Amino acid sequence: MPATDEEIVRRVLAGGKRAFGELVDRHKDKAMTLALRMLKNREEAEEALQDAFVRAYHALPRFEWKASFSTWLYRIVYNVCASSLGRRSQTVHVSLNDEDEQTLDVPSEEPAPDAAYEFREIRAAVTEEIEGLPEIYAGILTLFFVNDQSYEQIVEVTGLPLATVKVRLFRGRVLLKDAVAKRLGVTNGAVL
Amino acid sequence: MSHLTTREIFQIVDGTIANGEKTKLIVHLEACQRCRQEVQLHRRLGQAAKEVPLSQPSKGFTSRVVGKIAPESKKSWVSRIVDNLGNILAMGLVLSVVWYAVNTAPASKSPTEPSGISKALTLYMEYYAKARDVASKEIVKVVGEPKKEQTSKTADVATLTLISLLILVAIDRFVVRRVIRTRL
Repeated sequence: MPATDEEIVRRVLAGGKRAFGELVDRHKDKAMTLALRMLKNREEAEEALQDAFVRAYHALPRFEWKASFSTWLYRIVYNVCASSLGRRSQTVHVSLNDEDEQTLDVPSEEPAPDAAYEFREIRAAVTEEIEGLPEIYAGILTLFFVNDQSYEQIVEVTGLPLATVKVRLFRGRVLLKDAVAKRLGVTNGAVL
Repeated sequence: MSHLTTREIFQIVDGTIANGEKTKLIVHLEACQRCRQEVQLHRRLGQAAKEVPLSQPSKGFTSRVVGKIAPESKKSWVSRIVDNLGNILAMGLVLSVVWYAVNTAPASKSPTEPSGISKALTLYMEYYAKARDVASKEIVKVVGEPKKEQTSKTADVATLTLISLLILVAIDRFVVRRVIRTRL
């Protein structure tokens, strides 16, 4: 039975620096996916991820298990990536008030693709399109779907208010659906 | 027939429908094929998003991270000497030549006879002066007369410069690089 994160963390805190490698191995792929979706650049994402893991190691004595280790780690990764984005001065213009959510909160006029699509087609389209989404949506969607974080955990990771998390997730899902539908050739009045 | 809103569809997909609305939404779904399709689509999109291939960092990533937090244990003096044997021998050779040129060689000859190094340096300085004169002919007209050469201590200055350079190389190799390695 593999050791839990908690057991490994205790070994690291007891002086087993090398045991930290087990935590890195265990979480690096999901964390890298998050970093890459946010930064859109493999080299920068890997650099940010390395920085995040080193920071996590040094902050480990202050980790209090109020959240799971993965949520805590994703918060560090998210913050490092957000700082990197800030340095890049890339601004994504997003309105985050409730009014904007209301404007989206209407029945979709797009015809819904039926179940005729092969799941692998949808997955391939999602894989491509989720990477093309703006950083703030791609990051939240990745935390939700890939990193299995709940709304509350995403609040913990990002430090954003719950309402903002919900709006970004909502908008991200709508954008993803539209992008996938477009990629799969769904047009007005017809389901291809 | 009015359809479910996107928010309601997400609530159904995520299983976060408020108890008061549950019955109303379920009744609507049973009657509306379009909304059922929409729910189905978002379920499949969500499932697909969960199953997209993960991105992996490059090979050796974990080792690099561990290397940063837990640098290799200090090597013994013997290992360090063996690892740097080439550098040590090279430095020793260079310093020996300099020491010989500066101290031993002049003592073995008459005071008036210049050493091989001095001859070479003098020759070099002559060629340098000629080259500089040729190159600056036009500039001299504009700027004025060049400064007089200081030939008397040229060899000493060159020797000191060489020794200084060697000291800098030694500092770089044995101090600066070690500090950089330690910090990394």
